[in-house]
Amino acid sequence: MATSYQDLADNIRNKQNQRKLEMERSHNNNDEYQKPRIDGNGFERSASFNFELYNSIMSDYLVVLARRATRWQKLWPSSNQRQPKRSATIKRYIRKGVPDGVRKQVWMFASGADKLMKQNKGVYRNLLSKADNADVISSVEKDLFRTYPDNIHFRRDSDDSKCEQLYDVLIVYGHYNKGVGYCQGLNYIAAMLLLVIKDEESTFWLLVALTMNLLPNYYSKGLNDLIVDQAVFDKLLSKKLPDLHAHLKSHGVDVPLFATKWFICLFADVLPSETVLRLWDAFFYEGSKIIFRAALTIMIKLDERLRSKDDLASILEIFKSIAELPEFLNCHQFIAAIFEIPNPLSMDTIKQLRQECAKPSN
Amino acid sequence: MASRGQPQRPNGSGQSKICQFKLVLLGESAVGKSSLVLRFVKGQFQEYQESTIGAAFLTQTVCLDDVTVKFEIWDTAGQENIFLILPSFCRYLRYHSLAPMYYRGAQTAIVVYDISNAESFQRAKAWVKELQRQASPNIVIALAGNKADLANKRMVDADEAQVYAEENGLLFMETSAKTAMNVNEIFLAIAKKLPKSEQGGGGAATQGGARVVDINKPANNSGGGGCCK
Repeated sequence: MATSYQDLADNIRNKQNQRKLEMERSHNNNDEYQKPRIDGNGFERSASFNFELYNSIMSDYLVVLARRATRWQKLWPSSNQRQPKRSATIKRYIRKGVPDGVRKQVWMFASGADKLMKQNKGVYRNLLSKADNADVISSVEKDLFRTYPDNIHFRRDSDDSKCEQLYDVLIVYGHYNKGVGYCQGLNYIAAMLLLVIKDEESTFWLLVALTMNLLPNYYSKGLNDLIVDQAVFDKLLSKKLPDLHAHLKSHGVDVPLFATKWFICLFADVLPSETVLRLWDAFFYEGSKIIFRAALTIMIKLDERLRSKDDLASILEIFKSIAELPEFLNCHQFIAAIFEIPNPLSMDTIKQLRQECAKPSN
Repeated sequence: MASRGQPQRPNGSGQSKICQFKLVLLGESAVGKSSLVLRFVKGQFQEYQESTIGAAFLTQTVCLDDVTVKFEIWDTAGQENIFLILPSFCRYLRYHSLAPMYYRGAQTAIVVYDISNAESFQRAKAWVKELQRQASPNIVIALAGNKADLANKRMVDADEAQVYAEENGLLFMETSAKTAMNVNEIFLAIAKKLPKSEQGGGGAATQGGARVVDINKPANNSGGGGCCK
């Protein structure tokens, strides 16, 4: 029997109380309870990780999560029950955050992956058993242990290593979407999906829905749509933050130098893992405009810092620090910000810019 | 303890200038480009190094007798389509660039292959050809046969690579990011070979010559600590 929402809410409250107790119990800075080296998604924290800041963010955020869990329970009591219809309420709920326990069902529903899976019974197993494309296999093999090597779930030597599942998902994807095969970056996305979805066939269909329905054709051989979207982002940047855009340009910092991974990995391995999950909540429901909202919000938050640096190395150094900055660690505030501070930003604007940028000069 | 990227200590006297060079690493996916950089810049090695998406930028300095060489290192993605994003982007936005930006204006390049992967050696040769055609005419190219610790899986003959390098005027070393063999050495050999005249003061994109930096204004070294303190 699946965990009920009430259980989930209770569970979160218990965790919160436990955390309080732990904090009261020990003022020792080296306490493992207060400073776990591994985060909730299995990622290793860096030596400079700011636990005090994180704990203060989490003590508020866990309250939010508990409240959201209760709300979701009323909205959609169980995955066995009829799916809710797409509506303004659902959209609002998703923007406010999907609790861990319901994330899988919400992602599968919001992205349309569950429909794909139902319509294509047996396809996954069939493709897996016949996989024979040597190019796909060798490229996937090369990246298999180079995907989140710092995550306990993807270490080669880990007992419950998900590497085998990751391998299967990527191999089947490469045979299903022959126009793409394997493109680097899909490894990070698929691995992140696996952490949430757990089951590999659902993960595969979610990857299909994400790359073939929700995104433009980002991972095609020439990556043309991805490059167009970087050009669109460049134009948005020049409109919204003209001074910063000029500053970066004058130091030779073109968008792809810092944002290639943002677009290819949809911020996986760029933003803190919890923030990535919250971003993907909205992405699965609302589509690719979320990427622009997130990218612009990051730039707005970094604006002053970037403009205070006067050489390429220092500018790029700021981009490297994103995963640890409080603005991005506080996922709840960051997600709220992406729906406010880049405004106005309509899908029509993005579509129009995509058309403009899609005509290369030669 | 891992060795730091300090091939040579400054002798303290006659240290008059810092020369800055743009260095680009090229080569097939998973040959060890990022690992060579991690070893050189931080003295570290990871058996499984994350695959590079886009390009990573790092800096490290090397001290010669009378000059400090600062490398601005572009570690590029091995998968070709990702490597080509930047030049395509510039074309879409109608920026005028002839050669891919990572090696446009690069004074030096390390082309890397994996000695246990014959195909990666062929790919390295293609990169050398591309550089000879497209990059700055005076570019210093080094060829690194990496993963030299995997001698029992060797697929590329060292003599063959050596002959190829000599024919094409390349520096050549077999390296191992894992054992640190020849890693500092290859960067040091490049530093020695680069022209350190003061002709090029016009920024990193200057063809050929170094960018000379005022020693009184130490550049912000973001790497794992340069040798000149």
